[in-house]
Amino acid sequence: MLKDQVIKDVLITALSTGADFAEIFLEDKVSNNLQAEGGVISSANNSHIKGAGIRVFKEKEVVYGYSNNLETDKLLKLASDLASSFNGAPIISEIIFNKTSSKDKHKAKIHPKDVSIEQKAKYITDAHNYAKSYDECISQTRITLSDVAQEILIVNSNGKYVTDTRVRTRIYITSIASKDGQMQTGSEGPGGLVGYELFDEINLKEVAIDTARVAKTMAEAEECPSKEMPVIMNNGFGGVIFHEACGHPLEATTVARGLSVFCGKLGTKIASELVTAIDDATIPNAWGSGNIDDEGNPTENIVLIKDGILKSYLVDSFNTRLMDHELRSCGRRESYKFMPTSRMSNTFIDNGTSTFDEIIENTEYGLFAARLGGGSVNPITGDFNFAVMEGYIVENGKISKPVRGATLVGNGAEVLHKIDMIADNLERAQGMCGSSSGSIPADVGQPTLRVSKMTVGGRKGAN
Amino acid sequence: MNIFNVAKQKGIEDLELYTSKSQGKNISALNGTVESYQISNQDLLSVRGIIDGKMGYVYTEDLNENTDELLNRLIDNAKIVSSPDVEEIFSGSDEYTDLGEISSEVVEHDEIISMVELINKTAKEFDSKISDTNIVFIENTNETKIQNSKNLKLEKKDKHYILAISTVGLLGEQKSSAFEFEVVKSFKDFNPKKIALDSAKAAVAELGAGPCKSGSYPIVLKNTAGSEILSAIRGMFYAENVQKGLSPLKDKLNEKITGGNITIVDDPFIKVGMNRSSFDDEGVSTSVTTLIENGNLNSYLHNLKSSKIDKVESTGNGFKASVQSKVGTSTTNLYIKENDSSFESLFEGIKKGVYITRVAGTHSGINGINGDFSLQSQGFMIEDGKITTPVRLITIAGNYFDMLSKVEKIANDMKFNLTGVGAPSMLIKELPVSGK
Repeated sequence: MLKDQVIKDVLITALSTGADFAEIFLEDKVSNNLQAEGGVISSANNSHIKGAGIRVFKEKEVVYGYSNNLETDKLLKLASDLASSFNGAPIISEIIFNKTSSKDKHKAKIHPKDVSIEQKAKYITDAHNYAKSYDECISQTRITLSDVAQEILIVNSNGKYVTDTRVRTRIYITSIASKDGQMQTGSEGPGGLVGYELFDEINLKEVAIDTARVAKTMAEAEECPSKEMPVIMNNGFGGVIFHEACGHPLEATTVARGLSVFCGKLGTKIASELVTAIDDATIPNAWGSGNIDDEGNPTENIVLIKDGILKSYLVDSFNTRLMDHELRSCGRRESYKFMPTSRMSNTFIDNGTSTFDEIIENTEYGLFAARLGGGSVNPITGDFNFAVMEGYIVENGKISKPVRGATLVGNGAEVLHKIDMIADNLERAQGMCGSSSGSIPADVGQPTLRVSKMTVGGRKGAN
Repeated sequence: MNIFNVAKQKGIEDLELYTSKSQGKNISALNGTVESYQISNQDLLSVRGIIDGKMGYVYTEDLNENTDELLNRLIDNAKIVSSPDVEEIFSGSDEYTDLGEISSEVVEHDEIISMVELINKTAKEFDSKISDTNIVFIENTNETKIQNSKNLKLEKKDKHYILAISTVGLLGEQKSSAFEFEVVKSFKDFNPKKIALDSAKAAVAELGAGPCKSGSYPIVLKNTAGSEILSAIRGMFYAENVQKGLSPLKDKLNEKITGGNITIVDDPFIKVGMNRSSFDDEGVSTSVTTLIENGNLNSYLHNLKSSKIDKVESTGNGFKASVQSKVGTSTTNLYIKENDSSFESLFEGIKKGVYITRVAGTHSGINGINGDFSLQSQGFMIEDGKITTPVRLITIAGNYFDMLSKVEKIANDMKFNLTGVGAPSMLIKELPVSGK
């Protein structure tokens, strides 16, 4: 993307006033997006994202600049503007590139550029037809198909010089059911660090029909009651609870500043002993995977919690300057427009020893959250919320009537101790995770598990 | 050769270039010490064009992009569109409102740093229970140009400054966090001491909070919480959503959908408005639209496409979500009109109620299609007309339009949030609250 000498000059300029580290992140990314309502393609878009981000550290201070103008004089100007934040004599005046190339462990089999736009449109119309023909109450569908091919080059003043290619494809299907004046939705968005072989790996028909089934069930459901009760969270996207309630507060973004509820808890019990949790960016072709992170470090499998004991935080390179912790390969960013920071990749709670049936049978009364929607957390207090997309009341050890409109609220530090049963059916699901370094693909996951007590907020009221 | 000529040769009937140039500065400080400093320069191009009546889009950040390839991709994208909607590249409105010049002031780095230090000091000195402050300063200048084959040439500039403070309170093991912000068009309009004190007061007051008992309570919804909820449901006012069956407001024009005391307006001309604009992203002149007037649904918000379907004029709300997106619909500065009650008077006569200061998870806890919501909330108990103990980890639930039918008093304190959506504080007859 840029000549070695230009990169070298830019880094040396950035270091000219005494900074101790400089890095350039170059990105060239093509994304395609098809959108349809009711099976009719309403828009097709193609975006070419290209630019550079320059990051400079001096001790515990960081300066960052980005631009899509890659002309040499513009990049040198940006580097010198950044350098003007410091005033000292240069301590690094020579950089020797150590060019490494490693095998692409996640290579896409069918690259998006080799798939015709007509074929892409067909996946959408197929998905629509499957959902629509499920039931006459399915009044509308919204489907988007997106693919991204990103090439990156990361070079830093330590001599690191690495490249990576990331191809991601995802289809997102929402079905809307209308019945007796009620409008309810069901959504699913399977995707991966893959090309269009995605459609060989998923069963599009099952996925589409499932969204329609959820929408219909919820349109016919009663409003959820509001009170404290045991909550059984299903496998797959149920893992968003761990992502929000525990994953975010384990990121150095809050921990290094002393702001997280999990500060100073390494080596101590922060969860029920049934809980082992992992962040693994090495899973082949998973949505949140990569060969390297956005600081150029090879990805790794990180055990966050083992049998309830906190083993590691997620710490990117800048934050190792603020806290005494080993560097983890977790520096991620949406694009060159964001400075990387510690982020999750594919984060999940590991399998337990109970079975799904045992959990249901052992619950006298509670909520079964078969499918969760999104949620959010305040990483400082740990307070979180999740929307339940598909819920059922469990009575006398059996799943009974469906309920809609429930929101679960709790506190991350407290709820981890209240997990009292974990099944053996681990599954992962795809999501987009938003934080200070932008919106990035991340898998959440877990087996079905039970939280002994949680506040359930519904529209039906307390009785 | 000029891109418009190349497009003509390729059979593109009409073509439009949309460019956005911006410069940004972002300073983040922890406890008054600068931790990160960011600068940016962007020069972005989005191109759209019509072929056989269908619109295709392409976007590029590559300043050396090959025009020929760019237009070929645009043609591919246009050809796959199967929607029968009539698309248009606009030839221009008769008139555009003149919004005047943007501030040309240059803010020195030292001025920003002294302000950041003052905010930190003010917050910390307010109470020893304030453990940390995180202050962010943002300066953004943006220049947008639209140029098309129908000889339309438009240009607008905007500059704004944002100051945000997140304050952490600490009492034993319990933490609280409060957030305050200000958006201004001129640096000297900031009130750094006020936002420092407001956030420090809120963080201290929230310490020691826990859930309250579940039940139905009268609710005072603070202006900032109300604007977050309105922000999450505003898509229901977009005609394109109504037409696609994605809004409960279908067939409700000229009907009463809220209490008679509710008026909701979209106003692109508000001086301090985050989304102040004289034309939308299709080049249509913007206008003030009263969506709900005294409870009656007056109008939807339109772009050119949806206005053609409904056979009305566009309201000038054809905006893109970002430079690279297609034209959709968006509000400009949307707000619920304030009334003349004082904030304090909302609490008068409430024996037992809940004052909601913040809601969370509005992107997932609100059903954007029917307005049902169940939201994580925090605030304070109201007892005998007074704000008493703090509460957190509760939910409030309801339906947005039902809620707006049960508003008993509206205060005179309308405030915009960071996305240009505003609400005054309101007293709501009752809502179910879930706690312990």
